[in-house]
Parts: sequence; structure tokens; C-alpha cells
Amino acid sequence: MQSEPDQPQPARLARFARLQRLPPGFFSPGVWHYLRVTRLWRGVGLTAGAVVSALQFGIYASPLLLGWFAGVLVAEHRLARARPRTPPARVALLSPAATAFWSVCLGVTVGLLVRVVILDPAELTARLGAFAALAVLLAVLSLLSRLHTAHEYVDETAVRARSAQVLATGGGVSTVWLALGAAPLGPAPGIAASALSLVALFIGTRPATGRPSSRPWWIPASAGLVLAPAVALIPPAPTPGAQVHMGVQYATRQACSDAGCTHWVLDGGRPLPEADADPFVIHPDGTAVVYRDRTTGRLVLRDFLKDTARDLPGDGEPAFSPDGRHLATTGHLIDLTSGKELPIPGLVRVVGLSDRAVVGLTAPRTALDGELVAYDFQGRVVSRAPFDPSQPAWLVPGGKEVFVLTRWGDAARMEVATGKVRARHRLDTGASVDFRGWDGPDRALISDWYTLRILDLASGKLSRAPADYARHTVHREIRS
Amino acid sequence: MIRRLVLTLLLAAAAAWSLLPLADAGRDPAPGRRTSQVAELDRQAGPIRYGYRPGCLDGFIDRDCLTWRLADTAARHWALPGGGDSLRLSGRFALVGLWEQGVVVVHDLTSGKKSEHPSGKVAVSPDGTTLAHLYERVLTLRPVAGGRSRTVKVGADPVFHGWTGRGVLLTVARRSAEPGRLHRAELIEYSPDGKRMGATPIPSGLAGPLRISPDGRRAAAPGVVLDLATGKVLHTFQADEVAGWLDHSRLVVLRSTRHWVLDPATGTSTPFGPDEAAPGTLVLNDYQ
Repeated sequence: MQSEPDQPQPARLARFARLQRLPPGFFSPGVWHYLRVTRLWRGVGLTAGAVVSALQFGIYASPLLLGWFAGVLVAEHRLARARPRTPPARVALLSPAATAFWSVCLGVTVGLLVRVVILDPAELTARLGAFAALAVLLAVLSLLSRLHTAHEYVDETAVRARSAQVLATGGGVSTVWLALGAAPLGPAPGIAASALSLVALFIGTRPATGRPSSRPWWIPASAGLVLAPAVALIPPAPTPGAQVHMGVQYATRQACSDAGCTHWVLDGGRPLPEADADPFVIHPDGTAVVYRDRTTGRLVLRDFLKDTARDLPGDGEPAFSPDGRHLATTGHLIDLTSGKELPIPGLVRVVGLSDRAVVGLTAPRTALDGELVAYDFQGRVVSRAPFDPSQPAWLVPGGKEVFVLTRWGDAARMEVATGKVRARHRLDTGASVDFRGWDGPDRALISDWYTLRILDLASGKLSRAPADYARHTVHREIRS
Repeated sequence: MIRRLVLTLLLAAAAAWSLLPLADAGRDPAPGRRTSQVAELDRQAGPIRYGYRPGCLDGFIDRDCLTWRLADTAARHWALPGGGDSLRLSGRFALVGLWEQGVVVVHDLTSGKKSEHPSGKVAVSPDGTTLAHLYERVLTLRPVAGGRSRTVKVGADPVFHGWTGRGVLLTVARRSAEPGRLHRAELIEYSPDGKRMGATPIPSGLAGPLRISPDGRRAAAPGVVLDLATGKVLHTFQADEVAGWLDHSRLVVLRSTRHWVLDPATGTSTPFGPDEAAPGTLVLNDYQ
């Protein structure tokens, strides 16, 4: 590290004198020492921040800011150690704007820290972020107290005022950044914190001259603490699925060795840790999901609009009607509008619902033979047909046919009323295939390994689905 | 002085609170995480009970985490050199599939001898004398010690399961033109000399690979235990995969990311441990 030259630099001294409103040509060895120390350590901190930023493959404001401010703290600490310990003085080193800025930042930071403790995060990084914010806050307060002590000389007042200004503005914005990292409130406060940095830069580079004051410095500087309770009590960030303003479009579940990545995640961002792997069904308009609760083992209807979770009767793979008004589980049909539950004892496995009927099987997957039965919404049998119950089957939109996809790579449409095979195709994908959803009444979405394909049920032709289909049409499971 | 003491205590308390998660870490390690290095397999290894691949730490795939490990009856773990994509344990034989090379390497863990066979589904008979090899529709029965092989052409889309006490078990599906049905599936057994010994109908949707019980009377697939004599489902259970039979009555299954010992008759399950296997890589020996 190259040290600063010992010879005073007139240009820097003149700039400092201008900024602190000192007489032109003002010189003191104390000021030059102050400029050397602060410039050295701020430079070291900024360089360290730049290195951290570069390690993240980009230019990021927070490492630069925090690195620079760490340098400020070291410099101010070294300067403070060299000063004699004197009693507190009634002096205002901070400008009114800097006082207000620090005061607001103090209130926001304290509120955020209380909030972190209330939320009690499990992540080490969040806790360390909160600790760092608290440590910086206390360090700034301690240094500001040491600055507001008795002294005699004009040049000392000038450097103390400059130090206080930098500590209040840089410290304020740094603690808010750190506390926000520990207690995230979403993107809007993050943007506000960025704007705060610009305000800090503006205020921090304004003249600060110091003046006598009738009250201790910390009284106006602490006024912002009234903001703390409001910040602490801002409603928590949306819990998984609790505040869904748009319908859920898709859900993913990544099976891997980490416990955390086995959860269902809604729309790529909101985990639903209480949901077991299977079944998992999304309401047609995305306002609810049905899953099996990991703890109770029961099927649960989670309604995001009403923010309710309701235990459902029955078991198995549930299905919604296309209009979203009915839901069927093994042995039960539920009218979601009225809440009524209609038992259908013969419904052993749900194949699907149309807007008028429930189609299901009378035997479990483990049976050799069974029947495909359609019930109306009063539970009356509409049709019966022989059906191999171990075949994976889904109701084709429209409700008149079922789509069957076997492990042997055969895909077929069969009439619900008769079981007659209407079209049958051998899929040559080279891998086992899974049904993923519908792309219109005659086009099934299927996946083999990681590829999502569209199967034209009439021709049996397979084509690769557009890249964004997985997002907008189906819920899917990703295995790694 | 007091102010300094208060500040120090406050910061110490905050630091302790920040570091609390570290105290919790490691109490319940994620399954499939590599916990230790193991020695390369040698003659000191006892009979092998199961094999697995340890999980790779996220983003760090190396040779060690892709190496198959074998656990013997003395609970010692050994590294099987040579890597490989798939593993089957048939008594004293480890059958390792190398997909890119298109071969299956048969390791005789007792003698240390190795032999290569064309890719396909393979298993060695319980008495260790005959290697069954299925590729497409051809079943080959080959003496392990060398000698004349027998080949049998089996039905369409056969699924290879392994050896029962009597012979080699496959599932074969026939296309069906009946309403509501695309296939009829049957379990078919071939004797070591290639004779077909009978067919048992099973639900066509259950026709994936089965894990045959050590007594050769039952077989398990994810969710079901079948009686091989009748094709009837004896028990149902919840599982994503079946790793194999631990003994005559208990299975080891995968649920989500953890392996469990399950008694399918009672439905009771206990954690399989120590569970060092990456999910889906645990393979129990066919003959416990």
C-alpha cells in the first residue's frame, strides 16, 4: 500500500476550506493529518468493496458503499483515539439536513432490526446482516458522541463537522442497506434505499460548519426513532401463497439432495413447504391449489383469495372442473360455490371433470379390471364402460373422451360412454413419457425427461412445445 | 466504562443470536451428502448388502461423489473402482452399466475378476452360476464360468425383473383391442435352461421393473407388493422408488429424498440409516 505524501497539497486544502467555509488560504497541520488519514482508509475500503463487487461479476452499489463506509469507520476510529477525552459539549456539528437524514435512517434501521428479531429468521446470512447493521449503528453513534466533545480550535471544529457529516449520511444509508438485507420488504424499499444513497451523497457533500447548540446533539438526531414501531410492524412479506394477486400459473418441485428444494414452489418464487409431493393440483383460474399436507396426510384446499386452508374429504388425485366450481376426490364431489360435499362411494379414482360430470374409475390402479363411470353433479350415474384401471388416464377437454398414456409408449383416446378406442398411436420418444396438461382439446402436453412436447391426438404427431409453455400451461415437476 | 460494558454485552448477545443457526447445522445432515472418504474395495470386504452413490455437494461434481460405494454385512463401506451409470447387486456380483461404452461390467467381488457384456438388463442367479441378459426381445442365459449360452426370443416390450428361486422373471405386454384397454400384461418366468414356465396376468399399469423378494415369492414396485404366484396385489404403500428387499418381509423405499425401511404388511416404516445415499441411487443386494 502506497502512503500519502507528507507534503500538504494546496489544492486539497483549498477544497476542504471551501467545503467547510474556512477562510481562503487556511492551513493547519491537524487538517492535513485528517485529510491524509480519511483519504487513505476510505480508499482502502472502497478498493475492498470494488474487489468484492468484481467477484460478483458486476458493479454493485452495496459492496462499494459498505466498503467505503468501513474505511470511514476505521479512519474515524483512528482519529478519535488520538483525541483527548473531554466532556460532552453543547455543539451541533451536523447540518439540519444531515441531522434529519440520520434521524430517519436511525428510526428505519431500528425498526428493521426489531422486525428481524420478531420474524426470527433461520438463515445465518439474515442474522449476520442484522448483526452488521447493529454493529455499524453503534459504531456511528459512539463516534458521533466522541466528536461532540469539548475542544478549542477552529480547525478541529472543521474536521469534526466534516467527520460528523460523513458519519451521519454514510452511516445512515449503510445501516439501512444492511438492515434491509436482513429484513427484506420487497423490491420497492430496495429502490428507496438506492434513492437514499443519492440523498446521502447530496447532503454529505454539503458544507458543515458546526455551531453552538442549546441541547445535546443526540436529541434531534434521535427524533426519527418514532418511525421505528411503524417500520417494525409493517405486515410481513407475503407468506407462501397468502397474498396472491394474480392466479398461480405454474408450480415446480425440484427433487434433489437438499431438503429445501423438495418443496413445491409457486410461479418460481413462493414455496409451499407444507405440501407433499403428490398430489398437487392447481385451480383453473390459479386462485387455489389442492395438496396433501405433509403433517396431517390429509388433502387440503388452499384458497389464496380467501387466505384459507380447508381439509378435504377423500384421497387420491383430485381434479377441478374446468369452470372451477367443482372439485372431486376419491369418493367425494365438492361444490366449491356452496361448500357442499356429495359422497360418491363408487368413485375410487378421479379421471377428470367436465362442467357437467365427474368421470372416474370404480377400481384402484392395482386391479386387473374395472369400469369407467361418468356421474352428474347430483351423483347419478350417466354412463358405464369397461376400463383397465391401471392405465394412466385423463379426461379430454369437453368431457366425452379420456386420454390414455401407457408406460409402453402407447397414447390413445377412448370414449367415456363406451370405452371404445377412437385413436391409438405409438409414441417413439425413446423414454418414458408423462402427461403434463392440455394445449387445447386435441393437443396433449407430454414430457419425456426434460423435453415438453405437444401430441396431436388426431394424427399422433409429436412436436416440441415452445419454450414458455411450461410456464403458462401446466404444473410440472423437475427432477435433477 | 458502563457504557462500554453495555455496548459490549449488546454486541455479544447480537453475535450469539446471529450465529445460532450454526449450532443447528449438522444435527440432521441432508441425505446423500458425502460424509467421509472410503477405502477401495478389496478382499477384506464381507458379503455386500447394498450399494449407493454418495451425493455430490451442490455444484461440485467430482470422481468421488460419482463412485459407487458398497456396504458389507459388517457395515463397512467400500469404493467400487471404475465408476458407472447403473448398479445391480446379485449375490457376490456387482453389475455396473456403462452407458456410453454400451457395456455391462460384471465384477466378481470375491475373486476380483471382471467380465464385460453388451449393454442390457442383467442379473446373476442366486446360486451364482448363470447370468441372465435381456436386450430388446432376446433373453440370453450365459454360464458365469463360461460355456454355451442359450437364447430365447421373448414377447414384445419385455421388462426385466431378475431371478426368482426358479428362473428369470419378465413382464411382457400384449396389445389389446378390447374396449377400455390398450394392453394385457403378464409375468413370464423362464427356467435357467430357457424354458417358459408359465404366465401370470398382472395389472398393465404395474408393469415397471419389480424388485423380487429374497424368497422369490413376492415382488415390489413403487406402491405395491405383488404375489408372484397369482399376480394379485398383496399390499399397497406410499413410495417414490423401491431400493430393494432388506429381508423376507421388509423393503427399503425412497420417499422424497430419504430412504425408509418399510414393512408393507403393517405399513410401519423407520429411517434407513446411516443414509448416505443420494436419493434414488440406493440398490439392495438381490439376495440378502
